[in-house]
Amino acid sequence: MPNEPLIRWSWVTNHLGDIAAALGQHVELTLIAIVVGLVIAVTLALVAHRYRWAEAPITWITGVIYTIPSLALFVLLIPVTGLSTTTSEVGLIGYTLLILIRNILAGLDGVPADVLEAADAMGLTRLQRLVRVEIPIALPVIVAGIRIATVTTIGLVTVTALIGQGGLGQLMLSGFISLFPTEIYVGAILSIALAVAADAGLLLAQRALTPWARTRSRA
Amino acid sequence: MQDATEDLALSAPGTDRSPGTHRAATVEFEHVSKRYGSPSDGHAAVHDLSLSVPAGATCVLVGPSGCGKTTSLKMVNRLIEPTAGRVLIDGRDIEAQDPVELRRGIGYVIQQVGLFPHETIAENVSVVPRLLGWPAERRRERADDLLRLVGLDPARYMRRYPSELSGGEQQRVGVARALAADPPLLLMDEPFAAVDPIVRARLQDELLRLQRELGKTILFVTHDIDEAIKMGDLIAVMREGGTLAQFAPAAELLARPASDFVARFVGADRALKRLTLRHVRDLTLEPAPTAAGTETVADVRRRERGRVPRWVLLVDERSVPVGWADTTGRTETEPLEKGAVANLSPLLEPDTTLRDALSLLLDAAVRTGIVVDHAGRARGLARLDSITALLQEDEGDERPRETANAAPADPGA
Repeated sequence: MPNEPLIRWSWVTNHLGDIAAALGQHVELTLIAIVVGLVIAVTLALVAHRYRWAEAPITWITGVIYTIPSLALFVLLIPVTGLSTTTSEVGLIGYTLLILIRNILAGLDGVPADVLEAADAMGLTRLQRLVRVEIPIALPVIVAGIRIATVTTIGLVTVTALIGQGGLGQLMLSGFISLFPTEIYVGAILSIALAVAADAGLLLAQRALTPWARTRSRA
Repeated sequence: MQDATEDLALSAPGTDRSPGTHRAATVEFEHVSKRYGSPSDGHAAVHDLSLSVPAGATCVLVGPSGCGKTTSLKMVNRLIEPTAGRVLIDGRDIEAQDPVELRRGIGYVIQQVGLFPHETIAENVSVVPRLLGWPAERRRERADDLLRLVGLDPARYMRRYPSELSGGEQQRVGVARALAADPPLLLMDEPFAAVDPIVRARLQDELLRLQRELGKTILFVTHDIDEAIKMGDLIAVMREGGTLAQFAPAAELLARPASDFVARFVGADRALKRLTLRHVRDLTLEPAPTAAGTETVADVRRRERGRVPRWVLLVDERSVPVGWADTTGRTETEPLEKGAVANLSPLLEPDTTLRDALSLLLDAAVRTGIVVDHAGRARGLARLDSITALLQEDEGDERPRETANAAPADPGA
């Protein structure tokens, strides 16, 4: 197709519904992965924070998961969970864990010792200290981790197109198969825009949540 | 001078609400030891410490690093648990109390302050009241009072974050936070060690003023013997291995160190250090010849019954000094403010220690300092001679150290 333009706008206007659906699925797959990943990561990080011996095995296991190439992981999961959302989510969540746990632990470890001593000496219980002092102070570093995990996940969702999911990845895949550049570019541009928007949105949310940290640069 | 001292005792500078009751606790250490490591090859951080601090006293734990002073302090609010012995607060064994409850009733101030960086100053000073479930309105009022008490304008500071404050301001907030729930006992671990010497001296003076108002029991840790002498009613000198070398009032420590170790630790300039124990209010002040700036030599002559002093202190309508006027070479009718010298240094307060007063006078290269009260009103003049006279007097009654090699003094003394 030598005369085919990079983007054929008539196709775009005729398929706005399909594009929106792909974008919607992309956002949904990302959101589920981040939210579920965060719940698991917070739990495991708090265990590692409380029981220091647990830190090594937790970071080792999540590190191993992180090193498996994404396509290989999805293919390995197919015999277990089939060509389903579950398969893609298990993979996507798995990849968020190392990033999130590392940042949560780094954030908690970064709470100054004198602040912890003052908190104990004023009679905060362990739980009060965690909820009122440690987590709020760790928040900038934790959100930095969520940003990296989110951007990474938005990229990985496109790969799940190969197992029948994929949001915007579906557009790109079908464009490759039918040698139709418009679909490829629409998918690519929108997934880049989504990643940039999510990153900026989280950064703004972090600034709003931690006005006290504005002068510091911890990312 | 009598008047000025009374003024000070009555005034609660910067606040018209009562800053707190005069509740204070006694603290007793009974054969307290703390060992780290195994019983056989561990080492003692604190060894068989026994001392008793009466209610309302400031007791300073002082000694070289590794003498166990901070460990001892932390055993009072159970941040560290003793290996042996017990600590009693108001006669009650703290071992039997819930550590969280215990700590909410004890103020705690540390060198690095440890303010919560994510909370405003108002929230920081309200931590314990919030834990105790005070209603928001009462917490806000208390925060307001506390900031005034430590010399910070609530309107300016309430909504700021700790990172926006200087080190000295942060430590004021740290003291305010410790006083929030009006605890009968304050623990202070090198509270002023991280600020520069000028700010440190001011914070020390303000703590002394606060303490006269509040009458808390204070346990204060420092490695600085000068700070110990300045702040402490009672001083516990500790030495390596966590043993108590001497426990005595500051004056006794300086006059009769119980051992060579204490004598060496206190230092050679004990006579000079003893000046730390006396204050400008203890001096017999000379009345200052004062006049308004618009008055003339003739006015002064009339008031002073014919005598015209060489220098006249010019004061405003509230008796606040504004300058010195030289009366020589003036016509009788010339206003004194013409050609007056505006340099008033040094200005001494009744609470200034004589040691500080001496160094302020020497720094300014003058023989006379103006003594002002808290409102800045002139109270009289302090002469260098009157301070050095005291120094010689002290020198005279220094006794030979016959107790030099005796066992450490009875800690209960």
